[in-house]
Amino acid sequence: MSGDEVRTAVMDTSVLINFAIVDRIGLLGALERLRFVVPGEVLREVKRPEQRKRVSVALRAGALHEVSLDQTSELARFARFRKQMKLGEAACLALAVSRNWLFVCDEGRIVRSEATKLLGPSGLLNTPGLFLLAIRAGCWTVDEADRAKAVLEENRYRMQFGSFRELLR
Amino acid sequence: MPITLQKLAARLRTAREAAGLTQEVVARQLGLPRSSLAQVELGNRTVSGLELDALARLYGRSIEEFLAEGFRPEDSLVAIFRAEATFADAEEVARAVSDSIALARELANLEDLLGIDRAALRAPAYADSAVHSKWQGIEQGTRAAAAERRRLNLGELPLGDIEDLLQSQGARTALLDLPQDVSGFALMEPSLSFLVVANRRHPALRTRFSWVHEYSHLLFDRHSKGTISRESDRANFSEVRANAFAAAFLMPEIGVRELLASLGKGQPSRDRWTVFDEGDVISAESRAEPGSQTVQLYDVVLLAHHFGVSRLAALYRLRNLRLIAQGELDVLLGEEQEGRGKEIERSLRLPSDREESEKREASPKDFRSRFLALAIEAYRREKISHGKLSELAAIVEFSSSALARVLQAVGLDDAEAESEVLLPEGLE
Repeated sequence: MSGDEVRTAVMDTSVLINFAIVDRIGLLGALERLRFVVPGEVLREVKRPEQRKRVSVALRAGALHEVSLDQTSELARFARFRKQMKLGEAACLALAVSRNWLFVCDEGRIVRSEATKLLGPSGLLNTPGLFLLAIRAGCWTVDEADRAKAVLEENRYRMQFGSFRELLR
Repeated sequence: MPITLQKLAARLRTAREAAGLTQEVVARQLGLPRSSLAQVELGNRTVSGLELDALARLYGRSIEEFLAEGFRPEDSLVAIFRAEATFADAEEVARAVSDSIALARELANLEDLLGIDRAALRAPAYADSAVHSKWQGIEQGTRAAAAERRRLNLGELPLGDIEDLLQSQGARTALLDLPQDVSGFALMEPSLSFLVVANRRHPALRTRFSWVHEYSHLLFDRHSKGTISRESDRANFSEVRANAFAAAFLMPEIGVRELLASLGKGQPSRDRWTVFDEGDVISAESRAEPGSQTVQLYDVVLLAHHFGVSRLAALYRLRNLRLIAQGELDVLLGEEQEGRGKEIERSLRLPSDREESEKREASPKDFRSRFLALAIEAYRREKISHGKLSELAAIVEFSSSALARVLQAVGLDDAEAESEVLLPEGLE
């Protein structure tokens, strides 16, 4: 894979909502090496009106693109994952596995282990990973990312480190 | 080898038709224009996972069925129930049944994920399932009730917790909101386990009767995949049989007679015995004090509470056992209609049907509790995701905050979990 190649990343609800909470979904459009897609199953799981509004704005601005499962092989995978996962997770994982896309998800346990098994550890991204990528790409300052991290902590999402500065040393 | 889109489209159309649903109804439920559904069924438009999920639920099937090799077009549980629904409430019945099937399917899935053998129905299937008259239905139902009581060693005692009893026989019980004139239904699809459902909109004592009524369908009508019980069909022979079964199972004849005897009632007003000693006959006669044997409404109140049935069910049982005459029944029914039964109940400090219903709502004992416990166990064992757990909890009306409290109490709360950084090598 060349360093300039744009990779597609399919984003689950958990990460999308984190970005909506800190009102930085637009940031995703600035990460040039990634193209973010969300299936309708994920959009359906965003319930809060203010978050839905932010997602709609990002879709219109092209920071996100809507996709759907359109092959029966993808639907068959979706049906299998659906027994153990919710709609959005099952749809994203089915797409990631079928189309060799990156899988962006904050869910641990079964989703993480299944995704790692099927995609390998290099097929996974999460909220802290994207924040870090945004800092490295110069789209965001460490302080901005740390402030967003604090907001997420108030919303029951914690990260393993105190500041993004620690990761840049 | 995945099936083609055309084949999937054809299956979706077949499944809809087998469920007896029109494109208009399905499109409305999905929030789609009818033309979009038509295009899906023609294979001109792909179906999303979201839509497939909703369609499977609506048609009472699993998503996998549509994509697997062995699709069985005729296999529609929803259709069985819809066939018995009236035009006016067809959609409401179909929705209630679809929800119940989805619940049963999720339960079966949890049991599979946890490696639990699906409980086999331990209740026998009664051979004399054909019923050609109301009288025959009453005879079959009464006979089977006595046989079931003997098989379960219940003697003549009140049944106590019906749900525990039915669950011990491998039947699941559920309380769901159903149309007012539907008392309940039974699902008899072995792959989903056996489920008897009573109407949550009905009072507690009536639901006890309904569960036993539906249990009767499990005993007699197992050849069918499902039965629905509604007030408008009460004259149907199989419904008569199920009602006779429920009355006799809940209120066994000897038990009723013994209870009345303990209240000083139930003896004939005049009794005569002749004793023969192989040589001669000696006669003896007993006369009860005039009016002493007349069953009063307070006797009925006590009888109903003893057996956990409504006063009306107790009254008709007394009449059927010839313990009261038709004239007495009419008088007692009149008194009950005047509200005197309720007054007596209050005076005797017995719990009312309303209090029992509130108690039932406060701590539901139907299979939802077990369902949630299995879902939490599946989550603990990493068989399902947190999102799936929340989804399952919502199906059994457990809010996300209530679920969070339970997870915290059992030490499975992930709120303190800290995320590491996941960043693929090529992007670092």
